[in-house]
Amino acid sequence: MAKPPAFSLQSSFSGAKASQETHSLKAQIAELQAELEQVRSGQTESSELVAEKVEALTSTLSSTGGVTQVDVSQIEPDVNQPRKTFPQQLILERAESLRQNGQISPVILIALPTGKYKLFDGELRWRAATFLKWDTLKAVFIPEHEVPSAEELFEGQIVAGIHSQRLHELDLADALIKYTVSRFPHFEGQELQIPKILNTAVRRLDRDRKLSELADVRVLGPHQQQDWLESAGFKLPAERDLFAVLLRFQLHPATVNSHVFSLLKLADDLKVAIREEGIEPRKAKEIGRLTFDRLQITEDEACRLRVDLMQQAIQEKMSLAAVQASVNTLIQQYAPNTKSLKDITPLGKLTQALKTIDLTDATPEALKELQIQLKETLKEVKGMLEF
Amino acid sequence: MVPQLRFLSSDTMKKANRQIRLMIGSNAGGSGKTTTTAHIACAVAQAGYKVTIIELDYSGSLSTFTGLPMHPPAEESAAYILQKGFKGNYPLQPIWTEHVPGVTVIQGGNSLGRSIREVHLDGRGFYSLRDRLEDYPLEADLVIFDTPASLEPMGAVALIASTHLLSAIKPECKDSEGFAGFLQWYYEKIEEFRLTPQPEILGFVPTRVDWSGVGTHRDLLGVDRQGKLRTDIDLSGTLPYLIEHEFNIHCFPAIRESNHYLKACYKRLPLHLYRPNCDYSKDFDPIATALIHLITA
Repeated sequence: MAKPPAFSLQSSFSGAKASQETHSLKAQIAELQAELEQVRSGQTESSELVAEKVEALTSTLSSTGGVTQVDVSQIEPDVNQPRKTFPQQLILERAESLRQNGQISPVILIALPTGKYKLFDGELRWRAATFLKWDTLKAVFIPEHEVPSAEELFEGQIVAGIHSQRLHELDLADALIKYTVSRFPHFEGQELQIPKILNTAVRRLDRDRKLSELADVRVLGPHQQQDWLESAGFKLPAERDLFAVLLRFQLHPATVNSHVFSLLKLADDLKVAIREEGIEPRKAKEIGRLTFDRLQITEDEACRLRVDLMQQAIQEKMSLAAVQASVNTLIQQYAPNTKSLKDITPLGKLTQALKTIDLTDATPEALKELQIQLKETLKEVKGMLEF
Repeated sequence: MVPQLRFLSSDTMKKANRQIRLMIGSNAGGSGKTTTTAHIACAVAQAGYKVTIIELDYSGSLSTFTGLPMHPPAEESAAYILQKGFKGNYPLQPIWTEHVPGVTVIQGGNSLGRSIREVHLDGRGFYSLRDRLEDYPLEADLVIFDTPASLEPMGAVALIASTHLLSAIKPECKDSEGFAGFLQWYYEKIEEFRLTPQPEILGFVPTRVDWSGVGTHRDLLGVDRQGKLRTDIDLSGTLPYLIEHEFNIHCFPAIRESNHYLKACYKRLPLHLYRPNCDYSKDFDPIATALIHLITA
């Protein structure tokens, strides 16, 4: 008798997968049939109804005067707003869209005492309209009595930016730090520490298996978030305050740690490129590996290499893989003894990391944690060597 | 003072807006369904909500955590509510009353033997539980159906009455294959019984997990000896990845195996009440939180 096949997770679930697909297709068919029925029965009435509705809406809009045409020259950008990334390419794209489709949503303005208007939301549209030499833009206004304080305004702009997903990670990182300092003044002067404080806290929660709670706490109300913060076991009030800020914006602290604050470590030339040229953060991080110490050259030379590769990546629309390959080639060229990350085992990577780790800015808590972990790992290593 | 879920204090407890009826099933024996049932009931009750467990299992094993005498007579068990002529006088029994209010049980046991046979005789047989709960609503915010490993017929009876399902499975070959069968059964039954609205799969939870001692558990979950997700292997062959990506079904964090459960059984109590500060009882918090969100939505 032939040997029975070994256990395979994929094969075990093939039947269930087929049932699920059948089920899903049948559900789609039922939905489409229902829609078709609706269309059939409503066909003769719908176009008249729609026309009536449009007329009613138009007259309401023009009589209430909710939207006004405002002189583009009277509009000023808000220099304090969180969004600072407006690459030229994006402005051109938006300009083209405005030209073809017209302005669909009004910008939001705040009236200034000078008689001009400050943008609360809509700077990209304004930049595009300026480029097109338009005279006016459609706008709505935040009423005078509702104009918030600088901190509330900034907070509102962050929320608007996050929900509309228009706030670039780098802008979000800067905005969160600025907001944290303004909300909790004890952070003043400690801006550079904030990403490290977050990283330590996230690592600890991960170790204590509490990270999974954050997905739910993220969307709870303020009182419930407060309760969680109080009982989460933070080692420093600074950690708790930082988490309070992130959760207030419904951001997941682990995501902010991996994808948002990590961009702050990039060299200034890369940050400028992200802002002005619109290079994607992942590619920028790859190019960020071309540091002067890794390549064993001067900072100026490293900067030039980064800028050159960046320009190439943008002009040739290089994929992430292509950027990675170019970076690895350059590293091999300048520092041939450096092993590529792919060749090193996880253990090798760890040993290398331990050799090069910079502990000068570490908090005492982080150092104690590291000490505990190193002792445990050392015990395990000794155990393995004894066999 | 009644201990609370750590991050929901009583004065900010949200009001229950709907009743959730959760079926806990697996298509595999010994996977921890009854344990999961008892502990979720306890966690949700500790947060202030009313919970009723309806045991549809012939084995009557829920008594392990309640201390109620096993195999009650038919009129004191779930068999009673499935009989024709039931008028809404549920044989509810309060449990754990010294520790937490609001939890009641309708026991299963060997009286269900007749119910199992009669499901096929009556015109509405499989719908009997759903009919009863519609005609005579229970006061509970959460109703949990503890079902036997074999899905027919009581699993189907529970499915038809449920709003949600949770599957508890050990991360091992037999249970994984059982879970595959469970999913297939689920899709087929929804169609066969034309269930609307369809009961949703809340998720699945790896149970009785011992990542430091059992290699298979580590392999199927893709974790190391400390239970941390490994970053040096291809995770696409692991159970959570497969289920989440191919079936879009949420995988809850694992419920770890512990000798504390065995000791808790001696006292006929769930871990939360036997050892209130025990870290292992927190394993149920993510499921309890998800249920409370649904209840208070």
